[in-house]
Amino acid sequence: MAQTPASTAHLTAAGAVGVGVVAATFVVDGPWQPISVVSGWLVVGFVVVSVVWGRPVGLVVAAALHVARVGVHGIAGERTPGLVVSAVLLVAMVELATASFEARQMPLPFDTALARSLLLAAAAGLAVGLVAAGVRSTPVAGPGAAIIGLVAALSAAGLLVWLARRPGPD
Amino acid sequence: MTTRGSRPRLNSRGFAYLAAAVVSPFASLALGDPGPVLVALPVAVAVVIGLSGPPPVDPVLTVTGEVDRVVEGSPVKMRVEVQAGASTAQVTLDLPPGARMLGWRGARRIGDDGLVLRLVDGVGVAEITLVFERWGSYRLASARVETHGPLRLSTSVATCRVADVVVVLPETERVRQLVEPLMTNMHAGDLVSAARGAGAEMSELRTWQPADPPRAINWRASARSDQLWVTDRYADRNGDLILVVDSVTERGAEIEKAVGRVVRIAASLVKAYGQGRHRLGLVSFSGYTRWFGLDSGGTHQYRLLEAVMRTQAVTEPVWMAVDRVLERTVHRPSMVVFVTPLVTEGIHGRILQLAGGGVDVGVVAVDPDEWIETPRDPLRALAHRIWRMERQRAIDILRSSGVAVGDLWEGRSLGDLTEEMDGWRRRRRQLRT
Repeated sequence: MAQTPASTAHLTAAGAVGVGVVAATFVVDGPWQPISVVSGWLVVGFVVVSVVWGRPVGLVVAAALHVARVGVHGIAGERTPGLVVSAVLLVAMVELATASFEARQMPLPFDTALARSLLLAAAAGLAVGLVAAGVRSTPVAGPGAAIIGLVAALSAAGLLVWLARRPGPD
Repeated sequence: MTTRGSRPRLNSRGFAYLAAAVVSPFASLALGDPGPVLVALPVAVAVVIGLSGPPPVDPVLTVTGEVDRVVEGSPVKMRVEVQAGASTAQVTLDLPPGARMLGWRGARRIGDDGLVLRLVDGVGVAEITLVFERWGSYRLASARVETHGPLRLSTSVATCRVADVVVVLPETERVRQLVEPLMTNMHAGDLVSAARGAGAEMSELRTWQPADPPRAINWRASARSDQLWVTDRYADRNGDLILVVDSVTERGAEIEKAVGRVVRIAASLVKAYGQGRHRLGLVSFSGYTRWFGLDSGGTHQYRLLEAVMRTQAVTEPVWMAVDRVLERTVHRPSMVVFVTPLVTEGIHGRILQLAGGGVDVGVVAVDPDEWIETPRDPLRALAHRIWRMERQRAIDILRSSGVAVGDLWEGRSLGDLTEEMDGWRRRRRQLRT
């Protein structure tokens, strides 16, 4: 198959949706199952809307939802998929979808886009694996949680404010 | 050249990772599970690294080589220089229709119009060779230069527009033997005038008269005689030539082909007569009736070529305007060369009228069969044949009136045609004398 920009855009978009579907198939049992199922397919839905529409808004929502879904699976007691796999799926989904956006604007070989996505996903998985092994944490509790939460919230808010105040295009 | 750049901004990838990074601590806190933070930790780090971003790109798109007078099909070199704080830059060229990238150096090509430049010390240079397939004016190109920050999470985009307009001239045929004007003007040139004057061609020997310059005395002849003899010479002059471009076509004809043929012939004649130092004028019936007065020199020739390139196909010119223009521009001793398919009766009458008025006229009759499809229907085919015969009869009438007519059918070179026309005129003059 000739790798035209159109075919790269379609293939990477299909890849992103496929990764989303794979993530959605990991479902927890018990009372959190409906939320797990619905959130999984919502991620897929947002990715589909995003790549079909060609706008990144859906992808942004899907990425945030995917991360939140990891927490849902955590409190349900089943770490399925594992943190490493979740990170790999997140990065692969985002990379493939954004490669699809890029291929619509400029020529982009599919093999390059695929290799980059898989490489970054593997790197993210490795990083998460190392951090998780180092932390070996249990659910956060106690007075330290409030401090960690405050620092995290302030950091996130600070990042958003910094981004908003950055100078626009010349 | 105008350059519009942008500061590094988060792209869709960066926003997706940022969303994950921002949501993760809230999700962890709300759900009491460190999983979201752990999953989003590498992407959060990546966002911070990515936002350090490259400095704004400063692309410079320069064009090298002779670009204002390019002949169609010949290459034009463009030099793309990008300055940015990134390791690579992706350049997407927005080429005008009819232009294509023939070659490139110093970059990797992606797709039809994309290039990836590797930047060394923040500077990347690529040489692109463009080719223009058809004559006309082209606004050369605009280039979109995109550089990415670390991990491709932020993007800087700059659009670079080149203000240079490339005028692509039609490819011309080489014409060796031109149909020279019978009458000359008062300017020095390459033609042998009928008038006496300072020139190279000898006219006669005559006895010396007062006021004859001493340099004209023929000492060799005078030595054999008891009086002084003077060599009389013909003056070297140039001619005035008016090119009349008629692109009248039939309905349903292949316009592109018709106009293309007429333009190429007219451009070839402008170039060939321009080299002979003749003063050239132009009258064009295409769309608006346009004319350019007699003049010579490279600039004027270039102006005429540009006017020729603006030729459009018309089915019926505004004859009143044509008559006025011909009346204003054509007068003795100018020679008038018509480049015409001879498909309208109006043009025959005007050529005969000029020839009858003593104007030296030549006609390059472009065969319209090149762009008119021969009908298959028997009745229409018969009508087509009769129309062809009428056209041939018109050519015969013009020839019998002393007009040199060359029929330029497909595959015949313009050089052959002008040689034939010149030969015909010579034979006719010999017969008259």
